Amino acid sequence: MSKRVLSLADRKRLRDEAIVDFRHGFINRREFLLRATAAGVSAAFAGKIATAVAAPAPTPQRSRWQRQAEATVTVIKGPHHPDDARFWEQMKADFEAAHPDIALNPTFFKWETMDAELTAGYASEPADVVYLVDLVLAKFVNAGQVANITDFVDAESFAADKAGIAPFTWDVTNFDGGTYGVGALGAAFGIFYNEDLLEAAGITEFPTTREGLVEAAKALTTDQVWGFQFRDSFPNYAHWDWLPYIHNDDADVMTPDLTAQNLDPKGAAGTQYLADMRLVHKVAPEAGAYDWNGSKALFEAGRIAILHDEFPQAVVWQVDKPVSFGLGVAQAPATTEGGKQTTMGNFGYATISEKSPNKEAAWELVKWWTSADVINPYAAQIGLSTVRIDSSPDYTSSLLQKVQEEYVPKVQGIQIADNYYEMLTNLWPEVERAYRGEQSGADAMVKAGEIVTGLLGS
Amino acid sequence: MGDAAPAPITQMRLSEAEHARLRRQQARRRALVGYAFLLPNAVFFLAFLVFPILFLLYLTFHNGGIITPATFVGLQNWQKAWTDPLVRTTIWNTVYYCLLAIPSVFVIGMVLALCLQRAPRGSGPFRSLFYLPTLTPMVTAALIWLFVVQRDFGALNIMLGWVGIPPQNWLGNTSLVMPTIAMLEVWRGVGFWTLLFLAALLALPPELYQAATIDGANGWQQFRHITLPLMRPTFFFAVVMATIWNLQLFDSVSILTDGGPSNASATVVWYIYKAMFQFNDKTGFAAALSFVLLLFILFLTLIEIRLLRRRT
Repeated sequence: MSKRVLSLADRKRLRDEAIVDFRHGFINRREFLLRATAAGVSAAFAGKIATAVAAPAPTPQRSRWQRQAEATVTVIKGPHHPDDARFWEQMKADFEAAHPDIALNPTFFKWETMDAELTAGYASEPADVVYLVDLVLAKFVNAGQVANITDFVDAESFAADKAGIAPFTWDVTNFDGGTYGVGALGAAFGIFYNEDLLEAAGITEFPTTREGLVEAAKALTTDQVWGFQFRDSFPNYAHWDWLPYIHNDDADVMTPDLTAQNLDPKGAAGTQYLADMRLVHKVAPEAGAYDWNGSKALFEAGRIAILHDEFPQAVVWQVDKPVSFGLGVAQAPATTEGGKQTTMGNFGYATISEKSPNKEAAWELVKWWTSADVINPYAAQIGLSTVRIDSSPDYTSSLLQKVQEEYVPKVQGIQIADNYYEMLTNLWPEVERAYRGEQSGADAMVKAGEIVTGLLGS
Repeated sequence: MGDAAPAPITQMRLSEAEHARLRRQQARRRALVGYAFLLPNAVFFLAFLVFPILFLLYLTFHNGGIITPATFVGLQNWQKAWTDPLVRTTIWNTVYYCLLAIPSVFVIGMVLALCLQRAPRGSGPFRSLFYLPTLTPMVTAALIWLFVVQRDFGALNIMLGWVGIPPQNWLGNTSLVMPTIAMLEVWRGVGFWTLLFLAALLALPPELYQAATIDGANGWQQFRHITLPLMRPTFFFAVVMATIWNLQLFDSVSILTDGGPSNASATVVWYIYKAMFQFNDKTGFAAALSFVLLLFILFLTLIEIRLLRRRT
């Protein structure tokens, strides 16, 4: 390149005109900086992208001092206790001691965001073992995300354990003849009552019929005390308190074969009964007055005498923060004397992800965790029920022990169907309207039945 | 480079055409540099906005597509988005909420901003105080409000009791639930809008007010004929942004009521979330509903821009 000596005037003119003249070695300093930065940033960024795209998937680096496991099994579940992570650290140590070739990685999702977290997980790289509650089990099985574990479950080595788990759980996890999970934990729901208040009202035995419950609640209701309370909003899981009343009338969301709605007309009486407790007998606060925590606080304070709640709460009220009055548990009353009394409950299942590359190792964890020696002490720690029929957890709460032995066998759980959660979500506003007196229980069930029919097979 | 030696530069004179060519070349180079600077952001823009929107559009014509294979269903999801009665309910609830929350937060924010503007000194702590709720995480704010609106010992019912009004069932009453959620959102948002309006007020030229005072204009006349017209660009921004943000109401509804009671607080985004993550195989419907919301926001924003620009 020829170079010439330029006069100062020329230099100034060329700079001012901002014309880049490479022939004369001129480049505006600002231009140079701009271009250099732009080129640098772009090159660096492109390099990063190229590296990221071209690089092989990172392999986990182990410490040379760490025990060399042949497989790592990740398990994900919702926390069942504030100290659940600590309990799982102990279980991890126990499991790895019993299975030196498998490393265990316990993780947790939040119950509030369970659906979103599980959906995102299944869409990418799910945990090897996923704890699925019955509400979402069918959805993920039918989406092809859960592995068929029939061969594992039917193996001779598992026969004794299989026989020790409640048969209904094998029905729940059976889809098109295949088994997709092993029953692990559950919670039953029913009634807590304040024995002192009942005694003061002259009630010596907890009523077992609807009429008896109304009379008891009336006798218990004063200016300061509500005789009866149950949940009424969907985010507070109000359906758990409603379902036993309609189950006791042989109603349910769908017929047993899941082909038609089964709320209209059978569910009308139970729904109307609960609505009347608020609107006619006025033994319960108006709908929406108290949320779940509010109702529990009032019960603890002795301002609610009979409360629908979840039985694991017995551990709190008997052991962790004992209430100052005698506490009893009961089932929702039968429609008439000698009628059916069911208990509502929902259960969780240990499943293996279809995408898991370690299904054998994952099965070892499922088998170990659901065994009586492991699941029973764990259930006692967290205050949940188990589905084992060959043994029972040794609960610190005598009431929970009673629930496990007397009520859990009478559990009528939810119906396992793809759209069950959507059905409940969509029909609940109709039940709520009945609770508020905006329509009768019968009208609510007509509309709820139409909603269920609309969602059947959709 | 060529062999011929160039003419001495002192004798160089560019023709008009050459000058124009060089200017075009320079403009092109500057544009390229600009695009190079935009490139990193453009990658994120494409990866995290354009691609998801296109994928969402694809999902609107399919069932599944997230954890199940996508199956083409044509316009079925769009049809359901127009015919599902719950969609109409959620749109109405969302609009109702916006009509309650946006004017309220603007009026309160403007009043507070005027007070802070006139405070001679010591307004700093108040600015921080007003802004504090905006910084509060939504979950914390919602839990605080659960106590505020609690039936028996909530601050709101206690204050109503002082003037003889019986306790209200704020979150459990279908008529009161949306105003209650609007109250929470106004409480959270008012600090932001106060500071925005205050910044705009402080930027107004004081000479105009001095001249108006000399001409005998009172405070209201100054506010009406000077402050409000000069703040139109700020209001323009505020109305557009508040509409966009408030039409996406979700978190407080999800935490406080989950759409209840009886769907009285169910909003469009709440329904999208339910359909996308909690209902079975409704991904395409949720995607279609997302597009309905997007188009609705776009439509309202265009109307607002047109109305406000014309007046400005």
